[in-house]
Amino acid sequence: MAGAGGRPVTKLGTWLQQRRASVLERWFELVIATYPPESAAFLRGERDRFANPIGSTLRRELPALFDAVFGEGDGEEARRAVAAVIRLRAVQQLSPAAAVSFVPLLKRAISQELGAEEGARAAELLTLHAQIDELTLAAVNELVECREQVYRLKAQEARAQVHSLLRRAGMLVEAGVTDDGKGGGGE
Amino acid sequence: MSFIWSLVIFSGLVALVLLGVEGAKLEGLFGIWLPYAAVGIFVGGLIARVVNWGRSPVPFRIPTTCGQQKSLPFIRHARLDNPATGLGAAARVALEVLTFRSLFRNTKAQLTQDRRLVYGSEKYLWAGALAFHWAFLVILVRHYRFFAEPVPVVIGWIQGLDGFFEVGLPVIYATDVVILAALGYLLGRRLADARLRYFSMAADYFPLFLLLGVAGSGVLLRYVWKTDITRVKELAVGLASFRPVLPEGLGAMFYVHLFLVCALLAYFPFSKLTHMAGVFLSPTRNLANSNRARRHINPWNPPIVGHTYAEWEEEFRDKIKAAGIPLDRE
Amino acid sequence: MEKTREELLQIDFKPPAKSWMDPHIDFEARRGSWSYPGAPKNLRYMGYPNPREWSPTDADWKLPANWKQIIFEGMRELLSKYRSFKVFMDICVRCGACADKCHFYLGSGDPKNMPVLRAELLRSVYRKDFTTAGKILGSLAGGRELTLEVVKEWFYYFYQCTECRRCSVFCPYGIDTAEITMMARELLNLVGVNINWAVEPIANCHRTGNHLGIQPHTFKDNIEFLMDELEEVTGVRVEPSINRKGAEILFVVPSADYFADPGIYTFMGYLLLFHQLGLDYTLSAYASEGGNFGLFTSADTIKKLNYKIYHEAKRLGVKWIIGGECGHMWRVLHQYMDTMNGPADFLEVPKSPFTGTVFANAASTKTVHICEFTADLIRHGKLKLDPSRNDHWRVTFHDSCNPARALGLFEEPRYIIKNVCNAFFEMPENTIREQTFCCAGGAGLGNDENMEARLRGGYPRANAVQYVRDRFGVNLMSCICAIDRATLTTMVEYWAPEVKISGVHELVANALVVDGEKERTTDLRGQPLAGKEDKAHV
Repeated sequence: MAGAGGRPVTKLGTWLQQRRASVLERWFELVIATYPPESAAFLRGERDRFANPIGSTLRRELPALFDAVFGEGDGEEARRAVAAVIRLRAVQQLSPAAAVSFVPLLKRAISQELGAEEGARAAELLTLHAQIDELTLAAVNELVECREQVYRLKAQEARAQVHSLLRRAGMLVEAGVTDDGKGGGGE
Repeated sequence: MSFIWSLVIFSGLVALVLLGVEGAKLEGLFGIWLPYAAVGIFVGGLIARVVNWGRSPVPFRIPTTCGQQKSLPFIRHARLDNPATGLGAAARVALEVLTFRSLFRNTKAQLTQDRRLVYGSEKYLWAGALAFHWAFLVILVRHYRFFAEPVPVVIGWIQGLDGFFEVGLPVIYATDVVILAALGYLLGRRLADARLRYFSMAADYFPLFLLLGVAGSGVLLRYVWKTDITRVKELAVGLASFRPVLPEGLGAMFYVHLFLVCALLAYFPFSKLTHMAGVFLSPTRNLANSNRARRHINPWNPPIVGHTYAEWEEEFRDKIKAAGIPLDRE
Repeated sequence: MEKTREELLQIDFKPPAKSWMDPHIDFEARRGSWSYPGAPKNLRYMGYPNPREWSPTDADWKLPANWKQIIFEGMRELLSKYRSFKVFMDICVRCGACADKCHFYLGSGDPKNMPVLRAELLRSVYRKDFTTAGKILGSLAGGRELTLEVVKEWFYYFYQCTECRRCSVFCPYGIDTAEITMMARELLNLVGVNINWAVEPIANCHRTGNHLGIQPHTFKDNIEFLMDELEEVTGVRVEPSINRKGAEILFVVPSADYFADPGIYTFMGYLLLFHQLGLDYTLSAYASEGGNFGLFTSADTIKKLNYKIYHEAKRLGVKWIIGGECGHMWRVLHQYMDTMNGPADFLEVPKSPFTGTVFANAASTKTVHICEFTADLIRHGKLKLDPSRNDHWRVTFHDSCNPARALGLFEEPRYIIKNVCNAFFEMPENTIREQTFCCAGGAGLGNDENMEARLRGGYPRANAVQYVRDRFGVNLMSCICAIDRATLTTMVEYWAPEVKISGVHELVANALVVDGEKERTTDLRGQPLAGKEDKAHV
């Protein structure tokens, strides 16, 4: 790409890779800000994976997602990283929008990093935003899957209680279940 | 907000003593009567507090066990973290008091996911808290020289040790530096960490201001606006022997120092500072984990009887019988 | 245009900063994080105050007219009964050492889940009305008016503490949030604010002997059914006795062990072990519950429910008691039973009939943990074990909160596992032993309506499980708690579905070579053993 007309020399993707650390930090900050402000310092500061599971999950998965989009990784890896973060946010009393927000927040992090340069990169950003939008949709899918699983687990626990009672009392005959009773709740 | 309030109250106290001594010439009040009152409140208040705690029994033996119990002979028992005897529990409390062991537990060097060695901020809390408490104790002991004539040899030793580095004139005490730094850290972390700021209250900032005021004014008295030590000693010995005299020319800064000490003493029994005594009474630390070996007595053990076997048998008699389970009364 | 969009998002994303003294909780928006209230029939059966139909989402919780007075008087009484309560109310310096130690805080980031603030919710009211400074200075001294909103907030947060005591390990004064939560729950109970998942098991246990309300004939049927399953796997018929007078030992287990997956395999494990040993023991259909949800409600209820155990031991004339694998049950047996319902002077100091070991650590309660009993047997070479029969498992061990922080039972279960399994891996150091993370389903919170709180509270534990799964290929987490076995099963299904949950004695039974057994092709679960896939017909 020529430098004429104020057009940037490097491609946006390459440029972002060079700025990886800085963009990631901005993105991480924006995501952390979706948690109560009193907790942000801790979530940000404590680096031990086991002393700070939320923060460390974000520190592990956001870079993985970033790399999947701009670097080595592939779609599979991107979906895995999105899923890992969503799985956590799905049970944290966030609204659905807030839960998936961490993906589109990457747009904001990039926009902050670009600063005044944003205008000059409009065309490239359009492609990039489309890419992030797809990931956002993937996040929505994951969120719904997680929420459904939560309800499945609820139902399963409730069913397991009744089920074993009936099974033990010999009051249950199920199609497809061998007479040793296996295949009940809890599986 | 609570920070501002504490600062306002603290500043008010300082203004009060300055006005009282410089303006109203109430040296007698601030030099003699308030110290007596403050010591009285401190001693009386702390005793009352401890007695009040002591009046409530310890109905259950509930130590928090932080190590392997004493059970089978081939399993190594953690004597300190899970004491099996009163002696062990005493040692546990002693180490808690002397070295802040539970706070230290927090601290662990960790290899993070990006293979870097990181120390938790809790390590600083442990170090800061320990530094403050020990420095404070040494300074208190050093002050004994104002009350005793002749000065006990031990005090001289401590003083010598404290001024070991022989920097400055008069020699700068290590503890003076340490206490100011430690208090500064303890205050700073409350302000810097959003989480701590969130739950810190006036009752957390105020004692820090008092302590900083006491230590700061003391340092000024020793190194900047030097006070006449013989006159201070005259006052101190007089107070201690209940034959108070009021020497001239002690200076406003001295009265600030003395008054803040009084404020600290008087505030002590009504505040969280009672942890000094409370730490010895904490049932999760001061009891041995010998629950199954020796019976612990609850003085108010209520005469509650559960659902008795006879009642149960009566209710389910037919079912028990049908199942072929033996009955007490056929 | 751009700006409007950002503002729109902002509202949604950034939680508002507000003072912790603001007690308001939106129960409607926080469904999934609280438990249903106690049903009136259960309150009535137990003689608890203020039985009524209500929901946390109601504006009016239908408290008694003088609820405030009841709580204050209750508080005064508790302060006079418990030095712990007084001291813990007075001496906290809010140093913050506990703040990041709570699994609910670590999993949610909700600041009121920090133990220091959980305690402040109660402490602020104590300060306002029981201390001089608070009476005069009010909120400046950290005092807070007791209002209906505060009661609602207590309900929310004190039923979001699993009484796991992890925070008390790190507190320089040993302040124990479990103790504070217990006090708060006592107070809430006085005005009829409690949860059904605690009071229903209590009512059931009081009446039938166990949490699930299983009556004597069903108790026996259940056990026979399990012995059928055990016979299918091992070829050995185990015939336990029930309510048998003159047995040497009374064996007490949590009811989930003979009723719910995967506890039933642990139960089969105990009984197979006893069978092989020829132990002279009996189960009781009356003392058919070791668990005690009184611990999650009130001290009087603990005593009332715990009464059955010594009462039954005396009636049957046994010499001593063995307790199965259960967490809070063991806190009660260890720290409360003897004080409340002892002295057990009609029993004898426990002595293993096979090794001659005298359990001096249980000289007063006469109650031995089954892991102590089994570890001693293994040490003395009394069991023939084939650990390869657990080779399909790569095992880690979860220290259950109460055996860890109320007993210090760390090495006994590990010793057993290492002798019955070939592949054992520890989770990271700051997640095990006294620093173990809770399953987030204890203290009455293991119900399905509270699922989201459980799942996020379970994340600190799950995170460590994921680590050993990824690093060592761990596929089984063993534990010695019935609540764990129930709630961790759900929890790992969400976070690490490749990992299963078991008790320790299930693994013992897999490895235990029993006289007259057939060639084992499956484990107790009916899963093929490693290398025997072709022989097992599942």
